[in-house]
Amino acid sequence: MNKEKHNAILIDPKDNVAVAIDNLKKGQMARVKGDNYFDEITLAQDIPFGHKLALGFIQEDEEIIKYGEVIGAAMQNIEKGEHVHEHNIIGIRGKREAKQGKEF
Amino acid sequence: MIFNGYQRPDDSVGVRNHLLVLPSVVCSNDTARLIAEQLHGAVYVTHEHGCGSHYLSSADQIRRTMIGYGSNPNVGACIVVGLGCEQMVAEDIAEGIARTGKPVESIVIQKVGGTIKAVSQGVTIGQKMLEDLSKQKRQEFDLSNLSFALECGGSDTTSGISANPALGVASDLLIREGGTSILSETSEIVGAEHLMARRAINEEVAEQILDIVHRAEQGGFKQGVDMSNLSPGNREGGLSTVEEKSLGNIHKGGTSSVQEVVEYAVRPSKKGLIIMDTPGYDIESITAMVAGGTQVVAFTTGRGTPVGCPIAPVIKICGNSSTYNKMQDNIDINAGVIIDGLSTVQEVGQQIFQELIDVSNGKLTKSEQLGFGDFSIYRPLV
Repeated sequence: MNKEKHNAILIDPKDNVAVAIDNLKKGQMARVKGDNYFDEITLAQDIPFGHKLALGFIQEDEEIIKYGEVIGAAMQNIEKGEHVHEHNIIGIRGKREAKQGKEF
Repeated sequence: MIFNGYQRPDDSVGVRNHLLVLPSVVCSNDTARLIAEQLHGAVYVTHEHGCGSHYLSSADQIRRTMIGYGSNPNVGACIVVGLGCEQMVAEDIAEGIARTGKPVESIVIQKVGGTIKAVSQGVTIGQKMLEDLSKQKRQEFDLSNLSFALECGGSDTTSGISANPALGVASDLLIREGGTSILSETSEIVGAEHLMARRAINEEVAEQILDIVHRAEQGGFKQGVDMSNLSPGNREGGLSTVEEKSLGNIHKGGTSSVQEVVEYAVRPSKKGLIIMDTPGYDIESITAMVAGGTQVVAFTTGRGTPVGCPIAPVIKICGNSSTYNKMQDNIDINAGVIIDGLSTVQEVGQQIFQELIDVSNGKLTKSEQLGFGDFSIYRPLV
């Protein structure tokens, strides 16, 4: 595999998670590429293909951003390079009540 | 920016110049087919509807879809073929289409006295229509005249990573030019409806988005389907929340504001991003958007699909290189290059946008080259 080739992608500049596009192993370097973005992050855990990793420290209750939108919130502190999945984040399933207080 | 299309009398612009032979009822399918087969370049559809036993709401929906289909700007002229005893009266369908000002004729098998006479009449009428259509020339129009349907099917993890976000970029580019994009398949908005509602142009539209999603979800419950649950395969693939799953789907709609919510097969009255309330079935959803006037369909996929449309080009966009390489006869654009590291979401989005213009100018898509004409009308049960 090309040493320079990235193995994770940042979909939107606002995201705080990246998506692995290869099966990545603990201790390995995630090379994250986005538009005008590149970062190398040492992985704290295995990240399977299609799964998410934290781009930086994420505090408990902080929103998880993917596609530039909120996909849930952290249930605990998440360290940079950790696997981000249902064990440490939860959906804020909003329906009618989520519209309350929103400005249009 | 401009494209070359066909001017229609109602000021819409076609990217194709089809003669459509449309059966008003299942019983006239084969007669319609025989007419179309004798006429060079004519297209036809077959379906299972039109008889007499429909609930009123579904009869309205079927009628609206047929009229909308014939009224689509890509149809230059239309022949409606009826049997004579059906609920979908051929003359009514033809009259509805004729409001666009385009040439429309109807033929009723029982009136003219059998299939052979009906085919003879149809071919005679169709020959003249084809001659007139062949004399029309493409003219320059700006992109605000284009409507782009955003469909996905045969999805996998890669659809949400590469193909859908890239299509979102292309959709935003078209909307920036004053054009229209239609997002559909309400069941695949469940879990992200609050995000779409937040992008609504006003509170009324926000409310409509929440309403159609609520309705789809309730309909699912009645059938014993809980749409807020992630499947084991979703979780294994790395999806953690329903918001994330639905975002992968709705990202086809980019970041634009939602201007309007329309019912199945209803033509939008606004430009920009539109949500059409359709079921999560590819062909029924595409048929509805095309009946709503869309001229070009974008279709993202991960696992690959051959689906086409008889009157609108379908641009197939694949999320990964492995499927693309296996199914290049069916797929137009490989968004898998994003995952391969050869391109970015923005770059592939630009490529899709350019393909939209090229296809609007006349470039044939893979499903057109293969002559595919999938058509299906969703019939509500109540």
